[in-house]
Amino acid sequence: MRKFALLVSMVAFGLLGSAATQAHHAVQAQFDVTKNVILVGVLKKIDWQNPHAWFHFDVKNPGGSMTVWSVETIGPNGLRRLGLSDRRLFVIGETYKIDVNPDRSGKTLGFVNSFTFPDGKFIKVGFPEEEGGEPPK
Amino acid sequence: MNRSVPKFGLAAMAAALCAMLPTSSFPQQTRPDLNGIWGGGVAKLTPTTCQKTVNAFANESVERFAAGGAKGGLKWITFEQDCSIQNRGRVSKPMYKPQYWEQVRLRDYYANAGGKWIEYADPEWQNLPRGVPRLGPPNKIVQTADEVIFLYENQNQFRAIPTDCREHDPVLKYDQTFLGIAVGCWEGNTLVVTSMGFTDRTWLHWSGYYHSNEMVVTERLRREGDTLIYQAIVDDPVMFLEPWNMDEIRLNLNKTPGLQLMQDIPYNDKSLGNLVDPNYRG
Repeated sequence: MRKFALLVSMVAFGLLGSAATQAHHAVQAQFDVTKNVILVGVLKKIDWQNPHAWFHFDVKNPGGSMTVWSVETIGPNGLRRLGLSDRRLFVIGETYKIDVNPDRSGKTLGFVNSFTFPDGKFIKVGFPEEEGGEPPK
Repeated sequence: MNRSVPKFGLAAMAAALCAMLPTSSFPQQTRPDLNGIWGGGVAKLTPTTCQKTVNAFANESVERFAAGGAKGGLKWITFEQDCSIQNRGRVSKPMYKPQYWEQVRLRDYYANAGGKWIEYADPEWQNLPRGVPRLGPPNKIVQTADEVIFLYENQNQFRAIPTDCREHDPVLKYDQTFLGIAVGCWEGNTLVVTSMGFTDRTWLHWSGYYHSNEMVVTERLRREGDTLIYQAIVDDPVMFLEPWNMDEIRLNLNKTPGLQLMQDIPYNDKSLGNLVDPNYRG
């Protein structure tokens, strides 16, 4: 039952099968999965590539300065299977809210758990902070 | 038959006729049909452009995490370890000669480390092709009278393999390729593909199983009903004590209407050397 559950999770992630991501597992070694950081930023670039697709955002800090956050999610094969490969979904210059697990070294990198789109659409691709609730412990 | 010819004369005549007939006039043996998409492909994808909210992550209710009270990213806490157990837990393992054991272990340990351990890095993390046999069975097979074409979703690879049991090209068999120089031969209902002329740059498997240029890979494919049975044997006379019989893989024919292979995007790893814990392979 456990193995089945794990297989279900891997299929949901699009990580099983022929994708190049099959041998590439390093999320916890790079990102702190116990922390969720919520950011609002302007999308400036997308790297649609394996093993992880990357999204680069200009995030305005409380003091007014700008920081570039680069965040990764599952690869294009996984995103495609989840119906998220339409290139019209992500618009350069629009503002998105993202929930990320931050890089352990303190660099402004992250693993994306959810996107909130300009039109209010919410897409969960990982373990985001509960909507409207406390960050997960 | 003509009654005027005595029986022993008939047999002699039949034998004489058979000796004269060219063999190409006998019907070709019917080969099994390996055509199709096996265990891969996509059909009927649903776009999410029109939906207000999408939960694209379906594994929230993985039992063991829920039972432990894990929330958020902590649900991942054994994800990578589970994957490594799956990889290391395979029943069949190659028998390396003792002088290579340390090198295999170094690769297993430092596969994702990079930096000063870059020589032990997993080639897949260096954006190299997986190669044969790590690619596994083909996702699609196209079969003609004298060749099979194996198509792979991973990195959009293909192999065009003649099935006339020819000798391997005397120059190409000493080449250093990622997919090998392959020749196919039917043995009854089994297609036997023998490949040589390999680089030593690939790994046979996640576990750090590297190999020499002298490796010969024999793949056997046969069809039972709508199941493709694929089994590979790796013979590396330099590194192995005996040939490695890899675990058999069974794939089902995918008959979904409108099915097509998914195209892969190039691999551009950014994690090698950037892991805080370089030995965290899970």
